[in-house]
Amino acid sequence: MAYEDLLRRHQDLALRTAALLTHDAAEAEDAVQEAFVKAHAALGRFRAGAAFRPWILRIVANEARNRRRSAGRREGLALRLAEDRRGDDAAPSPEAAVLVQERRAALLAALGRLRADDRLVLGYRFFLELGEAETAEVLGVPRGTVKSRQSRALERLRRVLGRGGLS
Amino acid sequence: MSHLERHRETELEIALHDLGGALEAPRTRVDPAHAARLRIEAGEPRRGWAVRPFGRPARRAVLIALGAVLLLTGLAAALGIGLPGLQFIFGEPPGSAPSSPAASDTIGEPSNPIDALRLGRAVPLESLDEEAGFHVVVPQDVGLDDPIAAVRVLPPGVRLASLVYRPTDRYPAGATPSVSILITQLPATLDDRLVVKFIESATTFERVTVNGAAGYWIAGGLHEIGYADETDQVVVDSIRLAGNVLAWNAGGVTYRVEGAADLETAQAIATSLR
Repeated sequence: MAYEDLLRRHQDLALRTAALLTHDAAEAEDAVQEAFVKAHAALGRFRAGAAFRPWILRIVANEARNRRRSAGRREGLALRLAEDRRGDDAAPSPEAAVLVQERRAALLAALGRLRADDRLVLGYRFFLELGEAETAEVLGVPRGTVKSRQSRALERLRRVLGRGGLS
Repeated sequence: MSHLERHRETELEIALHDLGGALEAPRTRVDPAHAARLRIEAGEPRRGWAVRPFGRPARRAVLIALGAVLLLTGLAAALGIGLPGLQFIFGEPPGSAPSSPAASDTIGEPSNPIDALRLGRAVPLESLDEEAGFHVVVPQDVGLDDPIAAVRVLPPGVRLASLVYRPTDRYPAGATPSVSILITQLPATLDDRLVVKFIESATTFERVTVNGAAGYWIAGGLHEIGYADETDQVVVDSIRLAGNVLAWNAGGVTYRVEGAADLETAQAIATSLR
């Protein structure tokens, strides 16, 4: 089915988007599934000629945000660090690898303590690698607002991490 | 911002990029796209729950999946796989979809069916091929009067050619008072596009052969056809007349005959196209 094929192309990003906003992987998955169904019902409102990806990600983010509200506040995000399985010469020593993972875990935890809007703009820009223009489209804000939100979110993240930064 | 702070922010951004790459790929219990499809095809009207493999909603999921399988099996048996590039999505019509022009036309007699049906720009029949950019075929010897021709450009540049026929004794008006038959032709490059069709669950389908090509007789309900290209640009085109539609695809062109009272009439028009 065409619609399913279309969704599958964006499913990974949709799941990551939902995971940025929810605190539970199952909740993120449900949010994506629900968003896909709602998007189908809303296809008539889809602007002809527009890009599909920011449109569907926006619906996913709205659904995930609504679910998070109803689920109440919980700590942690539905994002998990993958195991570092590099076994080549470029792989760091076991000690260094542990440090790298600890650093990432600290950053992920700090990210989880930010408010949802901050996580979303940082997630879109750095995790999903969306450009400023597309991020603006997904968030439904002007491009300049993305710049300022990103800057403020980074500042708040730095504060959460402490003056010592990532070191 | 001090030089040190700038440096730190850059370092933080690099760390965020690194973290993004180190995150686990999302793992799911069920495939959300497929689950969404099952729910849509089952015409699931409820919201607020999802198809889950475990837990309380699982029973509903099983029922829906079973229903969808039966539905799909029945459809597959009845219809086959489908036209090349033509895909049909079963389910409730988008509630927020633009209202059917036909529905609004029933309120009063439209002064100009081209505008009323949003068919674009009226063009002389003799220059229709040039305006459409492809050869538009016209019914011959089936008792239809001269048509009003129109061309509409659908983003991202696909040209929809339309032939609108006024009512006669042989071809009475349907839901749209000033129109009896509407023939649309779309040079869809179906190798590159997916065509998505939305129909009401009450709509019935029949697989037919039109001029030697596989086609569908879609009776009753509101329809929309959408095209999704490789860049994910989706174009949705409404079926203009509420009622019956004969749709088929030949030579890279999608044809639709809308408003015929029955399949026999629609087939006669289709086979007369020259």
